[in-house]
Amino acid sequence: MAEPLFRAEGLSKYFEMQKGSFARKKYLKAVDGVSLEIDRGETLGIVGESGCGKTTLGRTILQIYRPTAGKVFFGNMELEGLSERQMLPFRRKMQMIFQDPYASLNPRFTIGDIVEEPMAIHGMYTPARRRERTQELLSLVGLKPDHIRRYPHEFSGGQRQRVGIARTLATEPDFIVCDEPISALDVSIQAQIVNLLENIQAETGVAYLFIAHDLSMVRHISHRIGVMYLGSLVEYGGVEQIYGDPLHPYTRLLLSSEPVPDPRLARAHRAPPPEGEPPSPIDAPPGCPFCSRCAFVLPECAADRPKAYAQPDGRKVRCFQYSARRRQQRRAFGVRDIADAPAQRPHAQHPHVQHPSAQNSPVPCPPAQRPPWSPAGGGRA
Amino acid sequence: MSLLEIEHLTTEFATRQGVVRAVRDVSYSAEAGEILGLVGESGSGKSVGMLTLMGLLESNGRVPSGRITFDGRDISPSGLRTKRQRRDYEMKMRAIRGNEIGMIFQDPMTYLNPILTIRRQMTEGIVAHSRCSADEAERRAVSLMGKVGIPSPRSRLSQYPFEFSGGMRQRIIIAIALSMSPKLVIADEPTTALDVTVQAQILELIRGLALEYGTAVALITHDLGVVASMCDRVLIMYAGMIVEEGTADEIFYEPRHPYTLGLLGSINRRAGGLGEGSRIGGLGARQALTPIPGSPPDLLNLSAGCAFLPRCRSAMRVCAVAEPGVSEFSASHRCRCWLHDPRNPGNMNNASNASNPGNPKQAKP
Ligand SMILES: Nc1ncnc2c1ncn2[C@@H]1O[C@H](COP(=O)(O)OP(=O)(O)OP(=O)(O)O)[C@@H](O)[C@H]1O
Ligand SMILES: Nc1ncnc2c1ncn2[C@@H]1O[C@H](COP(=O)(O)OP(=O)(O)O)[C@@H](O)[C@H]1O
Ligand code: SF4
Ligand code: SF4
Ligand SMILES: [Mg+2]
Ligand SMILES: [Mg+2]
Repeated sequence: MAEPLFRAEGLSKYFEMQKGSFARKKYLKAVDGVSLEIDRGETLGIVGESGCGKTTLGRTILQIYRPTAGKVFFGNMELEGLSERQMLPFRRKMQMIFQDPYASLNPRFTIGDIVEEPMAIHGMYTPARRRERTQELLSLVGLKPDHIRRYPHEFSGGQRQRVGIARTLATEPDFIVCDEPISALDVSIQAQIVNLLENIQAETGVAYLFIAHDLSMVRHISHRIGVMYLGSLVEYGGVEQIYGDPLHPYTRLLLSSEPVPDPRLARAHRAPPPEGEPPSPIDAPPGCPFCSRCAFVLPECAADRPKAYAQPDGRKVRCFQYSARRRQQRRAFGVRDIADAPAQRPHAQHPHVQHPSAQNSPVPCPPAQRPPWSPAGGGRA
Repeated sequence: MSLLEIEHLTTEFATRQGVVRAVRDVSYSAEAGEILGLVGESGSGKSVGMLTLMGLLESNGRVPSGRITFDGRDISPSGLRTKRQRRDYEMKMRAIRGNEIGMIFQDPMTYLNPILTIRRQMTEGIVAHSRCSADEAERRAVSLMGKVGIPSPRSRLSQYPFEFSGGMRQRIIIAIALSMSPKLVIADEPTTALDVTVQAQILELIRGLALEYGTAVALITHDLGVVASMCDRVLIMYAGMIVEEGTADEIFYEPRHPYTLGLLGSINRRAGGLGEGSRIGGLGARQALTPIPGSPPDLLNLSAGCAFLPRCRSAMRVCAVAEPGVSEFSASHRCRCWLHDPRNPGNMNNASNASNPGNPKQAKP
């Protein structure tokens, strides 16, 4: 199998919490043992609640934060231990788009300077070619070349986000971390930016790590999804696997909480709201971090942290319900296991290379409310 | 008689650059027990409309016209000429604010005092409102906090707002609103700052307000998912005007105004979450997004005609000349667009053409 563009193994970032000199050192595990890979031209969506570590993950991946543990590979090159100078060519290839289109542009620079600066930093092209390319980039993101002499404050939020995207594209990156790039924008502008990002991907083959809390937009743009809870990926797999058939109890909770923009569906599926809130990530107790809110707790959940168990359909689920032992037990008792039904998943072998639009077979799926470990054939009333 | 009736309300701000007309000729009503959604882009006048209703406009704001009737009483902020009239109005509103009309904001800290305990903030209102003893007020506060889902409420009474999470603070605000048993609650983006799982909890509480207590709720949001799952009726605002009004079903399944159509085209309408819909409708080809081009207008330099014109794909010559009028499709469904305006010669011709589904006259029962 070909080398993925980017790969992280067991990536962690802990922040030390100062709590007086006598107190025991406390750690905030913002990112805790995350493994993922991203192929060329692919979008990996990261969803999860506020404070679960999405931004920290993005920054650790880009080596803006030095990881506490774990390895990061770009192509087949390991980034750990590189000096800042050795990092420079990789920094050029890996860029970031920020949430706040107001704060991320220097108000004293013209749009032209803002877009040109990264090319100058990386010593790309001659000055004349740089200016030419700046104009090309501005028209690529839907701005007019004569906007080059204007200042950020003269633009709307959506236009500023376009400027930010043009700047990011200036160094011809292979990989862009988009940290909530549309959250601060109006609904009608969000769609403009998402379409722009998709067109750029189709044209340049750039890969995205797309962080957002809008689950339906993430579904729209992503090929693969990582669901994050308290610093770790609790479920990781193809977009239609996860949205069509979520396995981890937290993924199910998250997806069922998202309001559906369809009044009839909303009326038909009105469910009691979930209970509880995420616990503090500081000094988390041992055991599964979702334990306090989980409706399917097992005896082992409080003592040990579940591993990322690989499922037959290729996705990884960090929950004891999906450990090899528990799945075997369910099989022994004749309890059907959704993850055991590869026939329903035509793209089980390569969940990530398959673009969602390529899926056209209507896949029959069991009702969502039924836990995946309920008896076969829907024997319950 | 509706609980709240607003007729031809206009709000302006005097600024150094000129007059900003933030709310323009807005009319609507709200019934008891109804959840009314207000949708629109930022700057479309949703919040200013609500602040006008509450009499909380900043000092540079004025209300040149409009009539507001609440629970049978005239509370119009327009036409207050003498000092005495203004004082009477302010007295009237002070009695209504927080008592008969409750408020829930995006940031609960705009309403909570950071240096007072939750006990103080909860009981003060109860004592003033129902003139009961402090002990009785505390008992009621505890029971209300339990009702809005705060675990072990008694022990949390002596805590300060900063010790609560965003979701918990929003619950306190709702408990305070509940303690006054208001007839109308204005919720301005109450869940925008919250996570989806917590949002679902808060929305359920707000729905309970309407269902159990018959409170009318004006819910301001830009999240069409929230609108679909919460609202009975929806007002779509653009550049200070209501451009379309209808039941949730009318807005989502029979949208008429090009802006409403654009909003619906800008979202991924496949269900984002669980539920059969995401499976039945969801597994096919992914839906293309058709965004609205351009950006919202500058309220300072609005030209004649329809404010949506620069972004509208269906614009006609008449749209630049005059503002479109209101056309009715049903008793609850109205919109403001030349496509449907009966004065539009095209529509007049079509009045006898039964095959035109967009004709407002035929849509009437
Ligand atoms: N520099 C830092 N020092 C200490 N703690 C930090 C630092 N940066 C982030 N954290 C903590 O790490 C955790 C994860 O933060 P992060 O910003 O990655 O969350 P997020 O998932 O991006 O949240 P949001 O959706 O609100 O943007 C949080 O508890 C945060 O308070
Ligand atoms: N005090 C003020 N002075 C001048 N303009 C204001 C003031 N308050 C609001 N506005 C303007 O009124 C318009 C509507 O604002 P608002 O009702 O807050 O929008 P939203 O629909 O996002 O709630 C905006 O253009 C805003 O800039
Ligand atoms: S490991 Fe246990 S507590 Fe954690 S999500 Fe799975 S079942 Fe729930
Ligand atoms: S009045 Fe004209 S410009 Fe305005 S929304 Fe209707 S068709 Fe478009
Ligand atoms: Mg973040
Ligand atoms: Mg507002």
